Amino acid sequence: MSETMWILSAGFGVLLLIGIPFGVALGLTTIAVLVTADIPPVLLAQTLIGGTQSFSLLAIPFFMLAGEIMTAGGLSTRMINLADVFVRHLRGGLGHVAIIAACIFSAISGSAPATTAAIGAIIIPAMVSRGYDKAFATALAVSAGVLGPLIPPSIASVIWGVIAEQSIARLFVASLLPGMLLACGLMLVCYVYATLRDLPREKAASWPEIRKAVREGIFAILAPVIVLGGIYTGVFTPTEAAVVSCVYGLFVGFFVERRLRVADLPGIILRAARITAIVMFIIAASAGFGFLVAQEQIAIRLAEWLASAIESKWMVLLIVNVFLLLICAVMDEIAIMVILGPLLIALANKFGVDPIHFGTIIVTNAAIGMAAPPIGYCLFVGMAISGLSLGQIARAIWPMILVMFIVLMVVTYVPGFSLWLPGLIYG
Amino acid sequence: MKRLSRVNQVLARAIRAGMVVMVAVMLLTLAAQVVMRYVFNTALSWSEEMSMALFSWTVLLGATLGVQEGFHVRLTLVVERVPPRWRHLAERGIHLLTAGFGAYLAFAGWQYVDETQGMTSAAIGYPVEYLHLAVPVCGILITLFALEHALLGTIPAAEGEADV
Repeated sequence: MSETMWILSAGFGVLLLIGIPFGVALGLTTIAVLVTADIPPVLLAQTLIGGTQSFSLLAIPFFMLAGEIMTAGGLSTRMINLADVFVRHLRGGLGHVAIIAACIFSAISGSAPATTAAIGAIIIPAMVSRGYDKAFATALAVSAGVLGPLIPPSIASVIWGVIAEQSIARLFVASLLPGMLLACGLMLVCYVYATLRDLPREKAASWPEIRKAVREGIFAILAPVIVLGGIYTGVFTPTEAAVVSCVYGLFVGFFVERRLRVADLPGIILRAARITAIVMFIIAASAGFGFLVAQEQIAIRLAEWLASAIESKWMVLLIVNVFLLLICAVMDEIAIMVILGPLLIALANKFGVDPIHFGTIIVTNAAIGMAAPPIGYCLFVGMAISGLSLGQIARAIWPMILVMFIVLMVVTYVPGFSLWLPGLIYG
Repeated sequence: MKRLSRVNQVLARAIRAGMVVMVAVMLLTLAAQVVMRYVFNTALSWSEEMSMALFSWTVLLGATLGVQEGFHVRLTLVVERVPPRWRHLAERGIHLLTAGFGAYLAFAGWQYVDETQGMTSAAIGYPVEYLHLAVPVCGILITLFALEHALLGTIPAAEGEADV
């Protein structure tokens, strides 16, 4: 191994382990190579700007902002009320309400923790007051967050689409069925839980109640129709759709719901901007790092070496999944995508895996990593809302994690499950 | 030393205000782009380029705020297990390294601005220095913020809050 390869692998690993932020560690590693290999420093500045100059990635701040605006403007509450009148009388009713509301929210926001935050803050106290275990309610809200990146739009898909140079709209639609399957699986968990605990059923909603919820909820339902309809009819690019969704949320918050005030806006915008900076700094800093990795042909060589040891495509996908699940449970999912992206793509190409199918596998893994203990953004949000410890949530969340594994296996071994819808829409 | 931290407070406040304004302008610009296309049937030539320039600035300034407020994501598995006295030292060391990164970035960024001086952007034709200047500014701010934490030991309570 050359000196450069040592720095890019072991040097980078040491920096991460001692607790340097991902973005800074990527930058320091790049600098170390520039200095030792006598490459002009300008490369660092150039790639840092290049990494942010992408119109697709510009969707990230606006999908973040849309979620923040919807929550602050009261649209999340309307989504929950709407789901409530239709499914609350079923066994495990409130759990179903949480999942369906999360599906609607996910069709506006592309963020997993934002989904957990929006749904959890309302549904966890409600579920506890109806006899659900607090740990179960929290675990459910944490798991519902995983729907955020699976049901389009999805920030994870935007990022992977940029890394792998694939159509973002196709990646969006490919993860829709996996998202739906997960939603069904989570509802099944609620049903079984409610049956085992013999929880009382809620009274079915009356007609006036349903009419009221539908009338008020129409604004909440319209948002995903505009966003997704706009993307798939080709009216908007994903980035424009995110902007339109923000404008729509502002309109409803100011003029329909009348809960937003102008004074709230800086705080809302700043929250979205901070989260964007976290994600985007890692992506920007990885551009220089990625350039050096490509120059050394590390990814291709590693992929070839791995390929010589593995025989079939299905075996390689199994190994990729196990590896990603383990690493996503303890590391930042975005950092994993940008750092390991070149290697993963080289492997997939080597074995002839369809790029959209492969992208869906990656996005599903990243989404699960958000909720899988011990480290995941949804988990942190769930802990903050409920005040429970990681251990308490971890003990309650295993049935949901099991459901996610099943979804991941279906996504991995039934390519048609993710490829059928994009094929139907785009031919 | 006290003066550094007071200067940094003012800088951080200015950055937060700047980020809010830039995101708001990007939102308005892109909304205008959509409205112009469908209502007035004309494509704006400047909207994408301008919002992308603001995006780069937002991201790079946001990154410096991440150092100041301590919200960048990192692995804490090892640092958390170190005894408190040593942990404090480790955190100072981490910020010293971060300051080193910032200083190199300022240097590299300045060279970049210098080398690309006189060029203009593709659509609007604005001087590219306006965009490339974001790198040295980001580098200087990271150095200032990280130095404060390294020297004064004011380590922000970091818990990467959320992302995808």
